[in-house]
Amino acid sequence: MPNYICFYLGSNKIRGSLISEDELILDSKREIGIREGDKFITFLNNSYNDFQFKEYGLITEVEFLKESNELLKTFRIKYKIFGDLKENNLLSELQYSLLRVYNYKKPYKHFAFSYVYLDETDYNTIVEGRLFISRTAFGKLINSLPPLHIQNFILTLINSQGIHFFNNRDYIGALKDLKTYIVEEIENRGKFLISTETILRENFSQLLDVNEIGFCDSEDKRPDIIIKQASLFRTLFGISKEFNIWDMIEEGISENINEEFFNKSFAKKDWPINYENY
Amino acid sequence: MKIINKIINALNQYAASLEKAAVWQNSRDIIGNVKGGKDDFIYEFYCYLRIIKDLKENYVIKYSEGAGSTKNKFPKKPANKKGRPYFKINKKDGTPLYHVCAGTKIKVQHGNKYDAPDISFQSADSPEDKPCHDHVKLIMDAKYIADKDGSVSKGSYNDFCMMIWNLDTLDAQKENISFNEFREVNNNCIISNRKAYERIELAYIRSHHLCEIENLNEEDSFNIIK
Repeated sequence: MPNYICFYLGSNKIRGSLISEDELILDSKREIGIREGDKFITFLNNSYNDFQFKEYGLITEVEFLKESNELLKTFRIKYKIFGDLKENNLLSELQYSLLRVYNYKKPYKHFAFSYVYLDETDYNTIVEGRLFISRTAFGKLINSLPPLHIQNFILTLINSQGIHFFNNRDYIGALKDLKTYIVEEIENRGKFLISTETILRENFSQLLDVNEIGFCDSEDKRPDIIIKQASLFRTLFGISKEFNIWDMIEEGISENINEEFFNKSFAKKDWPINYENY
Repeated sequence: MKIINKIINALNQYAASLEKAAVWQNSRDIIGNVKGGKDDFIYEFYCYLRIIKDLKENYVIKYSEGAGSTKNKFPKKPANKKGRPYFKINKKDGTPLYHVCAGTKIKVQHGNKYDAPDISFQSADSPEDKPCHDHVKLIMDAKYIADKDGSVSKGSYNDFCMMIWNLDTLDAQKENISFNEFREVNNNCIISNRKAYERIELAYIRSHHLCEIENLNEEDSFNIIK
């Protein structure tokens, strides 16, 4: 059985990192488990402020070169590159579809070593650019909420799913609850904020400076301005006019042939919620 | 572009925009009902403006600025009248009638506590500093209910009844305020974006010296129960 390896090309332990067409030099404090016949992919920090899986290939030879001092061993690894990974190769796209990832705020941390061994499922997911749509949608949306909303929503979800919340990962059910939560708790308040701004502009602009009207609780907090926040909600609702995110997710899930496979693979994995903010 | 890529793009756009909108940009307070802060003041202020806007039809409205950093800032939670903005309502001939305030603390008739109705109609001679029950003529409370099938709770209803008693606005009906779109509102009032407190007999509501406006939102037609 081959190992599945991911080389991080930003690592300072990899020298001549794949600049040569068929070999790299790797420094390691320990013996390495990389063997001929292992499969690999490369990982790097791309120019768009994201991380990317770049190429995939096969290890053809591993050679111990020298031990420069007592701490560092140097290996030459020869390989054959099969090609570039083209589809869904960004970590931001793949992060909720990889078993290895649980730090959703800084998912690159799971790969930021000179090399890591990957699970075969993750290797295939990356090479084939497969996405677990329902988990990706759920993860991206819930982790965009402020921590206190995440906390509230988890309680809502436990209320709705009961004991199944702990045993099952029903992402489709969870997305339905998340939609209701976002609409009722956040979007609807935003609608009232926009209406308030409209009432102010249409009826009170002769009496007061609409740009200044806002809320403030105490001297030590910066005051909130209605038109500023209303404009953020206008942007959000503008996006919703362009496309209905919930309909798109539903369509994507129903068309995704990998959904069932992922549901099984991730059955024992935790909900993809970023607990780092707590 | 494949549907999957479209979804990822859409998710990224929507999630980034939601992340920004869900937090007040200046104070960093969270929009929504979360532990440590219940921002029903968005709906309360919306109702306050709907009421003032309605009064513009039959009265002359003046904006009274606050002072210092709260010159144009309304309170998120109960606050002193002093230093906060409010609206003055005059008759068309110029006779001052009311100060209509948002979230102002008002001393109750018995004891040293205060109540802070979301909207209070205070007499034109009500002081900036520590108004009391003598100055308040009619009160309104706004209830934001997130659940689309929800209604004003018994607890909220009872709290408001207590406030009417504490602030002694039992005679609010005698004020005969001329509303326009809310012309049937002739009393202390509970306003809600969803259903009113159960649809109980009118005699019950009347005995508590109040009326209710239900479904006051941008999608439905509101309904007045009195």
